[in-house]
Amino acid sequence: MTRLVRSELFKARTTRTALGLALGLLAIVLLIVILTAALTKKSPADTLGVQRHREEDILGPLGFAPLFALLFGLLAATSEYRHGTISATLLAAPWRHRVVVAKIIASAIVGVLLGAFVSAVASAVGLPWFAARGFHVDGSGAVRIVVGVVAGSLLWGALGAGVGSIVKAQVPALIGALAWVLVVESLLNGLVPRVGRFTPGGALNAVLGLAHNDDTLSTAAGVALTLLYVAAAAVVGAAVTQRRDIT
Amino acid sequence: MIEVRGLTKRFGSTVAVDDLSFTIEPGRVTGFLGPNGAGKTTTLRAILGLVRPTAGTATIGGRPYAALEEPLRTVGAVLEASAFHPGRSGRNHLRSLAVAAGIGEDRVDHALGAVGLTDAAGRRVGGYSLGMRQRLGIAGALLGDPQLLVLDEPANGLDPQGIRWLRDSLRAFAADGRTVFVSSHVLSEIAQTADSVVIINRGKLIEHLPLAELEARAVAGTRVRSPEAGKLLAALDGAGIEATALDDGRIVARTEPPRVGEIAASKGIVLHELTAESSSLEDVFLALTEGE
Repeated sequence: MTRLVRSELFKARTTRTALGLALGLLAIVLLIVILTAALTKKSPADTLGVQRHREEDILGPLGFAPLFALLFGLLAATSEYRHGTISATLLAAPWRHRVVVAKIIASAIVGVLLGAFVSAVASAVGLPWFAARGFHVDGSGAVRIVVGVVAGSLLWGALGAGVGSIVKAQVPALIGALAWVLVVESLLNGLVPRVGRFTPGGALNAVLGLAHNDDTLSTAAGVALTLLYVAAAAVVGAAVTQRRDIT
Repeated sequence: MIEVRGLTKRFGSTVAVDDLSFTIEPGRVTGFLGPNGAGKTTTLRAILGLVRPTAGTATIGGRPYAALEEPLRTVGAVLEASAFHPGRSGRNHLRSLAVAAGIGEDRVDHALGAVGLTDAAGRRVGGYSLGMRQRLGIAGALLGDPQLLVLDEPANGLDPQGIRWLRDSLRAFAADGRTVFVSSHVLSEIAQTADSVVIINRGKLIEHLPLAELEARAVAGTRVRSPEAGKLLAALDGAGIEATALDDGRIVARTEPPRVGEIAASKGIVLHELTAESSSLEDVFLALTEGE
């Protein structure tokens, strides 16, 4: 299994996909962080020191990291089918369920790296700047957010590889995932939040600890539910891949 | 080495392989022939564990591919030439496979050298020509230094030099006592390399025979015209030569022209025409696969 995970990580670093996603994510996050740091107006509550924990505002865009980890996982699993390399992969390692699990583990690792990288840059740029402008920024609160972002990226990287192993067709997988997260879940969260909190995105919200409200699950419940989604995707992905004809 | 027993594969209502059975002996080059769509690729993919048979089995050394302990060290396979990530270099493609199979880095360089891709190995595969991709595919098959090579139409898209190179490579591989099973839809591509051929059409086995036997079927014939056709037919028949009278009064005999001439002379039969008529190996192959 170690060999297979190493092979998947090697594949990840020998194309431009992971780097492209990392740079794209960084660009989006930095843009929002810089605009937030530069343009946020101080309220009287800030001036009086009543408004606390502004790190949630400046580090909020890190919530994009798990989405990009998901995209990476989807691409890692589906590009093998798109380019036909799945044949060579399964000739080198004909134990299909192990290949699926290796992809899930490797995508989780890439998710961690993606989340950690963008968190480090965003924190280094945003937190001192925001603090210097007189907003209250709590160090331990920032660490809590970064841990949530890294954990969320880990879980969603794994989820992407699992779902990608099931769907296999790259374009439908990407469009479907984005439509689900950005449209369906947004609607559910907005209209029926008591249902929405149990969706993958709702569970991720609990993991991230950003934008909490009364309907948000506890962090532990969010992690457990996301793990359940990952496990379900892994089991179905392995079963489907096991039965699939590679033509 | 390879044993296919009652192999059947259906894709929906299409029967790609229909109760196919054959055995590939070790230490030989066996050609796997059939027109496009005959079921060659599906059969090869079933042998390699990529396609699940609807019925029957396909084993290598008595085991299904997935049960091989070190598959790349046992079997090297070349499937379609376009199956590479265009953004990854040739060397990194091989390294990703080597890492997964627990094969050392030195084998990557060796395989690249064996197919003459060392200089291009650092370039992205997207910039490779079809011939270079085919070579990279063969390098992947050689990674584990296997005893068996399975190749699906490896000559497709190769220029004449490439075909020559492929032929020499397969010969060199087989000269070490190793086994090659190579598919093609053109007999001439493998006629100079193969010891025997498995011919299939519409998913069914047509023939499995030594190439020499196939060549023997491509015997020369003779077209002969005589005012004494009936007498000549009887004379040929008496000499044990198969002969058929055509509608236009000519006779086609399955032997060389000098033999027909000698028989006619010995019986004092007048001949008006004596023409050699040879059927090539390709004709025999086409007759076998079109007759179905």
